[in-house]
Amino acid sequence: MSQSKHCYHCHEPIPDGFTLNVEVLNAPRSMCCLGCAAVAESIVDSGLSDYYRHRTDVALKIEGELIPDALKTQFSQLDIDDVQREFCTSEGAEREALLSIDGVKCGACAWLIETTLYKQVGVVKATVNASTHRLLLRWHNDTTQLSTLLSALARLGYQALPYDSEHEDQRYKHQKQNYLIRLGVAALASMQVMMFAVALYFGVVDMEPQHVAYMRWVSLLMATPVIIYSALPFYQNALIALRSGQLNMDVPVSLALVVAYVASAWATLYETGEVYFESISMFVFFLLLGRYFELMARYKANAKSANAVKLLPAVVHRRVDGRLETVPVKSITVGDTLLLKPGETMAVDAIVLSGDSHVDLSVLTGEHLPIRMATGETIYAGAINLDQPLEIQVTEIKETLVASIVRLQEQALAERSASVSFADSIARYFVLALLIIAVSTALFWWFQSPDDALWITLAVLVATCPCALSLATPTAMTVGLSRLSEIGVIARRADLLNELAKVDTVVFDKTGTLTHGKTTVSDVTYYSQIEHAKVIAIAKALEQASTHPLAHAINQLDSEQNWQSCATDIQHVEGLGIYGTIDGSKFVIGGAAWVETMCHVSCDTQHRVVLAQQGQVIAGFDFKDSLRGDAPQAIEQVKMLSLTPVLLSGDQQRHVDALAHTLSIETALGDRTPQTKLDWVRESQRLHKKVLMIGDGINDGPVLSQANASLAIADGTDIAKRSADGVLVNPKLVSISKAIQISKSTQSIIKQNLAWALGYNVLVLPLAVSGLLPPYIAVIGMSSSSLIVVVNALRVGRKTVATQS
Amino acid sequence: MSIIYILIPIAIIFVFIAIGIFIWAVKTQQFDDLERHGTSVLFDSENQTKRKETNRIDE
Repeated sequence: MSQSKHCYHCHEPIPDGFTLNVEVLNAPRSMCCLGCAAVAESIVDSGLSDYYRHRTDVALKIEGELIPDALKTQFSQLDIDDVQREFCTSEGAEREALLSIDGVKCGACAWLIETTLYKQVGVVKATVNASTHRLLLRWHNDTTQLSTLLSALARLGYQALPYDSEHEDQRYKHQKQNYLIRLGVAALASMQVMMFAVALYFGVVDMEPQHVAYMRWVSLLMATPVIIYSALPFYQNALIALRSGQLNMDVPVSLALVVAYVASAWATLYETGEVYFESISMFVFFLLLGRYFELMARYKANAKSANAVKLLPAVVHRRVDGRLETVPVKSITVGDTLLLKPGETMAVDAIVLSGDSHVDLSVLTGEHLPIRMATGETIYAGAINLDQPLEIQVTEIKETLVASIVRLQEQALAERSASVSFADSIARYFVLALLIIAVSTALFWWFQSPDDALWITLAVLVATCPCALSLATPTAMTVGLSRLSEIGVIARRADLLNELAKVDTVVFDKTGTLTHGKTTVSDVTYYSQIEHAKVIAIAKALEQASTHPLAHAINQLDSEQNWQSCATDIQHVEGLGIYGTIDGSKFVIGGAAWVETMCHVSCDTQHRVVLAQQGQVIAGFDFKDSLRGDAPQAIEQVKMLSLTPVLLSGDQQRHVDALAHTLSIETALGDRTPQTKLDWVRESQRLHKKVLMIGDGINDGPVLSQANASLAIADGTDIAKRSADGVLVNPKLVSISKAIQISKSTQSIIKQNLAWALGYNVLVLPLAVSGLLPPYIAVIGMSSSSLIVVVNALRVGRKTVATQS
Repeated sequence: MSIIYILIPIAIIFVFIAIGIFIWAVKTQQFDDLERHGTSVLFDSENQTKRKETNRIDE
């Protein structure tokens, strides 16, 4: 990677004509933006340039401000004692908290964070776990504030916020420790037993009988902890399955283990027949190894998504004496009055005081139809407000919050992809067939040659164990999901991997997706005699409760005069505009075409948003928005995968065409309402197109649900994230094509794995039934077939992720 | 050959010691974060000095 073209800090390409150098490790290094330069400078200034020497992965690109205002407020909220009580343990003035950090890529990041924190006054302890992205922080609350420490981290480009599902963490930790110990016992014991076995088989041919008996007894001694302790999870799983009248692959596994052990112990005790202690130990070891890898991969994927997706909002808008303030959920009490803007999720249970809106309760009820909420009705935590702002009074805080978080997590974890359950059901029938074959084999050989019957049956049980079959899909899926999270795509449904591989059309929303969505007002044109400051005050009064990006831009305007407009009867018309009454007269603000019909005026359609009164246009607003840095690259890559990019936007056709031209997208459709967007996607699907939708806004919600696969931008609205199959956590658009490549690679690996596992089992069955396969060869065959499947799964998307930097 | 009556039990004792050490290592969280500690040795030991300083302040 050439130094001149790429940023030294984040390795992103440097925009043309941009030159900015920072001296790192005694040489000037070029940076791609002010953000990266600021981070690099602060790293060098603190004498931490070692970070660059030892890091193994590049840093996240810092776009825009290092610490946005919203984050600053969130940090300062965390200093409040009541809020801290929720996530800290305190000992005198010392506080300890577990935080999740975004942006940790490798060990060097962890070192950077720890060293920086230790340089701060009042930090007692800071430990970063680079695998799970958690920071354990202990500090003196008298000498320093948590917000100071968090800001120090933010200046380095890491965002740390309280992590509160400690319970889940503890359970995993316990599980992992358990597996590791079982694995260790099995490994060490297997090594020892293998040594005795080698001696028995090949070592001394003319070994005296008492020596043979001795070897067998020590083998029995070493194999016993393995069979009793290490293999315990298999028996437990088998018992659970049997109790619920089901069969899983642990049933034949447990059966084989117990039968082989009892028979070998019998042979040892009575000094007859063969012993297979080494086979048993190895079998347990390999099986445990596969399970352990699966557990690790699954946890990693979960840990990253838990860090990234925060399900219920942490702050609400509280109305106190007519003013609106943003406060953490933890600091509100029952009886408070809140304002719930459209697109926002309820954090608490409440009664509607005023307003008339629809909410989506699908989180609680599974019902997607919007439910109308009028004054006096109860609205529950997790519900998403759809169209009008609502004034609500809090009735319940703690219970509902916890209940719905647990519910959502469980839903996400319990959701199993259709293909995984398909393989599971095959495995179930396979196990049944296998048990029948094993019993028939046992009966047949019992009459033919009673001495061999037991060992042949055992070989059948072991060799044909459908472990590889059961592992084939889940391991590939797990690795695929964790690869997705490595590139910053968090899957909300496992199905995302299946669907992404099939898409042929990629539909982009414009504002907030291809552009930053941080629109600012570039120009205001005044058409009436009303004072300019008053015009802006009126516009702000109408837009105050809207979450639309254009409304946000208008709200950012300064109304120099301290003239407070008080708007009443505000009505939001989704995707079109807002009307309301101010000082007795009715005002309308919104898209030019809509305002024309509402007010019977003719507007200059050059303006994106027009403010009008009955019969009179008052002002026109123009906006500017910047393209996301990697949008051209992302479109190019989508084309390289021979997929069709499409631009689908609610914005005016003129703006959409201009953007499509810059990005050379052929199909660009503007002036779309949520309904017509939805219609377009349905129509494409009717023509057998598989659509991937990428969006961020409230108006994208329905399309995101309708599309075959969908991704939401992380800083988009709650409703978009809730509707999409996945979330782009780092808003890098180039991740989209990588995600598609990863899912394609996952699909092909799953096919390879299934073919191999089925092929192996079918091939080995006749050999085992006919008694040509001794149990120890069966064990080697079974273990290696499982290991091949697991190792093959690890190849998923490796190339895609490796080429990322 | 009778030496095996002594040597094998000794070997087994070693294995049990190894298992014991392994269990201790797992329980004291030595395997919690394999990514991070692979690189930590590369950096200078400022952390330790700082840690000592804070300890002194505590006392």
